[in-house]
Amino acid sequence: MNRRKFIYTSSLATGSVFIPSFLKAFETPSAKLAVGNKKLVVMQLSGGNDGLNTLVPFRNDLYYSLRPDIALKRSETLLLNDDISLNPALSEFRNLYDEGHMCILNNIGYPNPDYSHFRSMDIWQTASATNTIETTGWIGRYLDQLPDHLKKPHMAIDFSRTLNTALKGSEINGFSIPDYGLMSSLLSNKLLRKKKANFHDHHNDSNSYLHKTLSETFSSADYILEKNKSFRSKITYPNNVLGKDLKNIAELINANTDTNVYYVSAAGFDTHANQLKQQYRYLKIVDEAMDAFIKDIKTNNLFNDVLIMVFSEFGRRVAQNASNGTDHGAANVLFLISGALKSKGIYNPLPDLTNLIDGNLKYTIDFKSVYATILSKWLSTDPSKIVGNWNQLANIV
Amino acid sequence: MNNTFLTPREAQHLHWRAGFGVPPLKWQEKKFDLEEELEQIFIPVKFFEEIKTIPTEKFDEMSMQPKEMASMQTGVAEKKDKAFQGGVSFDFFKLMNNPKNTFREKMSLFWLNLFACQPETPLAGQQFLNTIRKNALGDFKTLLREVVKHPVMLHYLSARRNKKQSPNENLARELMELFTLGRGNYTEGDVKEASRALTGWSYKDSSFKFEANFHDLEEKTIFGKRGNFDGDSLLDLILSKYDCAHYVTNRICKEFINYNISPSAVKIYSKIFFDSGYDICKLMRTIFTSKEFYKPENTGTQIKSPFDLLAGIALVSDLKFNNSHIFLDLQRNLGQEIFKPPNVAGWATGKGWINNNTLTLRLNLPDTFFKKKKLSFMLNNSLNQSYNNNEINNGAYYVSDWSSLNLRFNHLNSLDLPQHLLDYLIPSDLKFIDTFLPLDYSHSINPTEVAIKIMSLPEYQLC
Repeated sequence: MNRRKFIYTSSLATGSVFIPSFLKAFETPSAKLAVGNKKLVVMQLSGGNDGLNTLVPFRNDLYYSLRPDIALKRSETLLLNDDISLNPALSEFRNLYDEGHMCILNNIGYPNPDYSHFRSMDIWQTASATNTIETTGWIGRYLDQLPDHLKKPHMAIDFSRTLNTALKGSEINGFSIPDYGLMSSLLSNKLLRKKKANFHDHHNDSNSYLHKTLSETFSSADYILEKNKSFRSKITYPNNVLGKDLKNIAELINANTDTNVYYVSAAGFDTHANQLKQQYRYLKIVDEAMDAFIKDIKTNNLFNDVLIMVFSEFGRRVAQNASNGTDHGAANVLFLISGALKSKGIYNPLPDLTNLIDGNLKYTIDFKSVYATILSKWLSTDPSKIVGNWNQLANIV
Repeated sequence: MNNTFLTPREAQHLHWRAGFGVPPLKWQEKKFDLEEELEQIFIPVKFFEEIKTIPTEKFDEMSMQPKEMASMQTGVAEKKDKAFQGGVSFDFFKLMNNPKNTFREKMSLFWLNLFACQPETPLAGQQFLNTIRKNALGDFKTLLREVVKHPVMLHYLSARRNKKQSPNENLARELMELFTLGRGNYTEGDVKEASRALTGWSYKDSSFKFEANFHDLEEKTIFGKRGNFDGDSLLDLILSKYDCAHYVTNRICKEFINYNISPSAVKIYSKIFFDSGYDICKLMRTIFTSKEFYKPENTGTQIKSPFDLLAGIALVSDLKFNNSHIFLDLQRNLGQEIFKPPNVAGWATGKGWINNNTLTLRLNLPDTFFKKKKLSFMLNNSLNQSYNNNEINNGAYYVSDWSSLNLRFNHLNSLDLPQHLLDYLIPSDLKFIDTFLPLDYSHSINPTEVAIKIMSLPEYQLC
């Protein structure tokens, strides 16, 4: 137990009157905040989704002149207002927009953008600057600062096969569930269950860590499997990985699970060639799965407690390339979806196609401001220790 | 060392840190001669064999020429890519338990993490891996030069974008921060000036190429020294700094001795490394013969990397994979895909290997291999379509052979067997063996059955 934890615990045990005021400074600030029942679902579109063909600026002549073969015509798209429309694959997104359940943020990015998928995704997941390397993710650091009684791996769940970097903290990691069957088989291992109880190896930090992780895995898995049993979705989801993942998430949310953050990924957006067909196909997967998910959480009137953030590691080059595709770019569009939005519709102006850097869109809002806003306004947490001091966006949620 | 003999526990410690454990038939419960063990460990210095999984002459379509940006791949190309990638890493894996290779491959795993890099094609990966392997036991100066000038690294760190007119600091920064000096031993100004020295470094096909047109010929000031430095003289400047020897030694000590090694111990080793002119074997021999290395607080402290774990299991059970896709997916699910480190800083080792998912998978591996069960990631095949269902259903994805282990331990009676196997497989003292291993003594138990139980304990994750 470190000093800070010790003092925090003893202040709870004895009442803070007995704690000298100079020690109060060591208390974890977030310990005072109750964690509400707001749920965040982060949806990562891997590969670099092309924002300009997602949210289409159909009044902009430059859009058509820079993309003679792949610009979407106004008549093909789903109109949002007199200037802006959505990719034809996103019919459910349009409904959400019409119902006031969507906030669209334009030109989200960061300074000195990196054009590697891998590095740029790393920057988004760790919320690092372009020239620094962080080993922990922003959700992981959110878990790190939760008060001890809430600091459990299942407070943030990732349904992918490997734990996403975003969910890695320094004291605690989020929980990764590739498969409920595997979790059940672990729980059936009586040998390990017997061994996990109260084990601490005072001489070996690594060994203690293994046992702590094992013990947390058992308790989180027990908890999640129990919750998983208590609600069965009646909604039909598309038969693909994203559909399965969102169904799992909706079931846990509907079962009133403590989990605050869910993380999910969809791939296929690296459209260097024949972009129109490919992007339509993968956006359709997102749109259909989203449709089922929202219906599902609405059945229990939980849409007001759920915020979905849809992002991609970068947008794409404004001009098309020679293969009817687009290359890696920079700033991009980001969607926030919830029944409880304060800002509805288009939050800020569309990208300025006359003012590009190396053929790419300039960012006007740092993605870390979006994180800071969500952490503060939605998850009721001080964002400064998690992502640093960023201006929060006014009136989002 | 006061004497040149090692206890079995010390010998096991040495072989785990220099390799992947002691093979069952070599295990003895009496003293080991240190010099004899070291002689065996250093055998690979005399041998080097390239990995040639991908026959380069036949695959010109997989040119080393890295694409400007990763181009979109069709499903077919992706599968082929995956098969080759899995194939190269599997051939690497197979060499790990060959006594002519073990220590070379162990050091190569370390260098692959220090020089973290993501080759764009399996062939590029094979060539980069061979460059690392070839120089893994030589001198660090050559290793550094060959790695940093390798087309794969130059591409990865955007060297071609670093031009006299428009410098790109990527290569210079990572070179100093991650490969040689570490933060605090250079200034931002040094990074800027070093980028200028590195201008002109480029590649054509699979070879380094100097583009004189892009090179900045003006004077630069690096580490307070003024001169008309180019990339090679920049490397000389870096290597002439003791800080470089200290940084690399510190990284080595943290992996090979203890994540929490004392700074004073590191200083002793790094001085020897620097004075030897960066002789890697000299440093490693110094470590393996030092008192510090064998202190009880430095044994059983390290969490095995996924490759350590798999190679260790293979040494005991002669594990082989018949499907390179599955081997690749296993790496991915354990968090160490050999050509895909998480970022330029490489894999976070130690606790970084462990989360609920990787730990669960790790604890289940020995039993899964033995019983030829499906691994978790093979279950959702209908959704992921990663494997041929016939391959999965006929159980031919891996084979293991536990006969050496049985042969070595089957003379023991049921009461003695668990403790003997525990001593062989686990590097730390387990005092609560009865609670850990509730074995049914009513029937005779065989060594494999007990070994698999022990290998499923969290303690088996340590070395």
